[in-house]
Amino acid sequence: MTITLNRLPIGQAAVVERVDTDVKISRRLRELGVFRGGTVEFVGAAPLGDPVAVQALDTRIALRQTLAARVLVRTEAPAHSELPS
Amino acid sequence: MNGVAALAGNPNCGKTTLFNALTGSHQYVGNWPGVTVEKREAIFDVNDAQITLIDLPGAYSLTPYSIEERVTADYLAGGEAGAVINIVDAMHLERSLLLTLQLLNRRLPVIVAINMMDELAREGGKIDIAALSNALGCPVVAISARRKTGFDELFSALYEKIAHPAESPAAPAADEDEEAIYQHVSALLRAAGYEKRSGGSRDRTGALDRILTGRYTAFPILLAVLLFMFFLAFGAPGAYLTGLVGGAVDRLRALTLWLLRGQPAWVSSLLADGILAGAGSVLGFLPQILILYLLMAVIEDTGYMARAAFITDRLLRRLGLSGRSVIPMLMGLGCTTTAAAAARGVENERDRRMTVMLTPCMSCGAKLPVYALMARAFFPGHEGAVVLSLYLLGGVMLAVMGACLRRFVFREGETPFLMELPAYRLPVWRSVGRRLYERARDFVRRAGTLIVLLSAICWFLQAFTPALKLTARMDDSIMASVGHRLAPLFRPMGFGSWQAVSSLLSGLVAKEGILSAMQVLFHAPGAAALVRALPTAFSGAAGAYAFLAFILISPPCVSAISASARELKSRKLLLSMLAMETVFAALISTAAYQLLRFIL
Repeated sequence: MTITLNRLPIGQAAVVERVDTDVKISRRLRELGVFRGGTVEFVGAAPLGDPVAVQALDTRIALRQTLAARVLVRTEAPAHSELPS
Repeated sequence: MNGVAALAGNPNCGKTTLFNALTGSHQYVGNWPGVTVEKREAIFDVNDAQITLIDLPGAYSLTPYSIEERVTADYLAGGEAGAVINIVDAMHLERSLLLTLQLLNRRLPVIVAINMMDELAREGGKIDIAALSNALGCPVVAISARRKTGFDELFSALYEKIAHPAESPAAPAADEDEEAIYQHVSALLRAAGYEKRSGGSRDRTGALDRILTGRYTAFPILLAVLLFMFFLAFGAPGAYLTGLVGGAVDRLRALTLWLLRGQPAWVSSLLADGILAGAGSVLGFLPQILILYLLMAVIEDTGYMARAAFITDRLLRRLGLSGRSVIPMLMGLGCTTTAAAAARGVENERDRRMTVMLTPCMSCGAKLPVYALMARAFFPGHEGAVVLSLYLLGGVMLAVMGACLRRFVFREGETPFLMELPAYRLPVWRSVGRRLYERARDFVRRAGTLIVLLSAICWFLQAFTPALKLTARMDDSIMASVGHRLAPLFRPMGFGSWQAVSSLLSGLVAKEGILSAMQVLFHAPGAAALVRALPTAFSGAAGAYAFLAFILISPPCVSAISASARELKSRKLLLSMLAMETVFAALISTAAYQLLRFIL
């Protein structure tokens, strides 16, 4: 199933499906390892809930919730926070 | 034979460590034209070739995103470099090779230096250097900048490029704007038999992050780090070192006076009370600044700075800043001069300049004694509440001025908060020491000249009468007469007396100077006498509060102004800052007086 990056449960890995930002920012995300077809893992949010940290290509990167919400990812198994079907 | 080589690589890949290791102490530090980005150059010999090495700002890509990356991209496009040493991190090759492919695509004379090979080997990974060199079509050498290994191979590859310049073949790269470039990178790494088990370092970083950015531990730890920095810089250790410097300057003054005995009074007064006192005030800041730089360099190199930015970003975003500014901002509570200097650690130019322009809103340590004494004189029994309200007013002004700057000055350049949280590492002490030395030299040289000049001017205003006669009585000085002239302007703010205005002028030299000027102007030696004498010069408690608000918001002291000038590198921005502070100070203290006079 497809959800936004910031909704991934902590520790869950997923494959990036689409990065829905302007060219400049999606290019920078790509350079930091977040690109279509790449794997990302949600590490967790900062203590105040924003920004969030993700692991991509063995690097930790920090980005704000608003930006993370524009990255669509596909998980293999349904995330347990969204069980009702 | 002469040649120019450039050093290019991602941030956090050990580029500066390599630069220092290659060049030793023969470095020249300047600025890239038009921006506040540091430019480092050094000359060293390889065989019979004299090579100028240029350290380019860290870049993830040649398609610029930040000012630093634009500098790097523009420089490389200029074609000056006869060799480009592209340093890549063995632990993060997938990402690092993106830049390598871009460099090769532009037909630049690239030498790839794979750094942290020792770490890769320790974690049980491997890579075939020859196969990677083959696949990329350029020389590849394995090094460790920390342990200074692999330098011989690097030097001979460098000599080869400089001695035999040749058109480099175009890289066999895909279009660098497509995701396909990562497939290209993985194919290259497969060909080179790249294997990595980054478990160890990744687990360490993960475990530390759980504590240092954990929900319940992050802020207590940040607070402890900040208190520790504060204690070392502004507490007993910093004060002790500042005292040593002050003592040395005092002895120098005494010696000067002794040497100049018999000379006209104005000569010894200018040298001793003007220039030496001014120089002494600059040098007095040096221990604090060095302590702070040392600590900042350590928290930057270990990777903690990125975490401090990560956990505080949400709070600073409201001001139009990012978490990167948190440390210089909070240091502003100690000393505005030191904080402006510390803002150099803020990577992004726009954020750095905004930080410098907003830091004066954090009440510095020298303003506190003025607040405390005035509160004692006018608000007995409520001193704590009055002082606290002033600090809070500073917070409000920070938000208001931040909004103004974003609306009128920095309309552009806000980049979304998107940064690497680098793996935790131990600092390289040699490199920390180098930076510390350079910044100390830079501070003394550049801040020194301006402060000495301004101090000499202030000395002149305090030591001479309007008829240009030397006077020991401050009441007769030009500054007092300027105070008399300006006083009516301050009547709407409730402190239109010449003593109040003259002491504000003295506050321009140093905020500590306000109290000492008051003692002179009111003929009231000591705090108790001053508390009794002050009420004559202010229109009641409302006027006194407006005066304190004015001190809080109006331009900082000359040393803070010159430190700001140094970091802003823009006359227009410096004047905007001073104008903004003056206008807001006048508005807020008028409003405070006009409101409070009916309440108090």
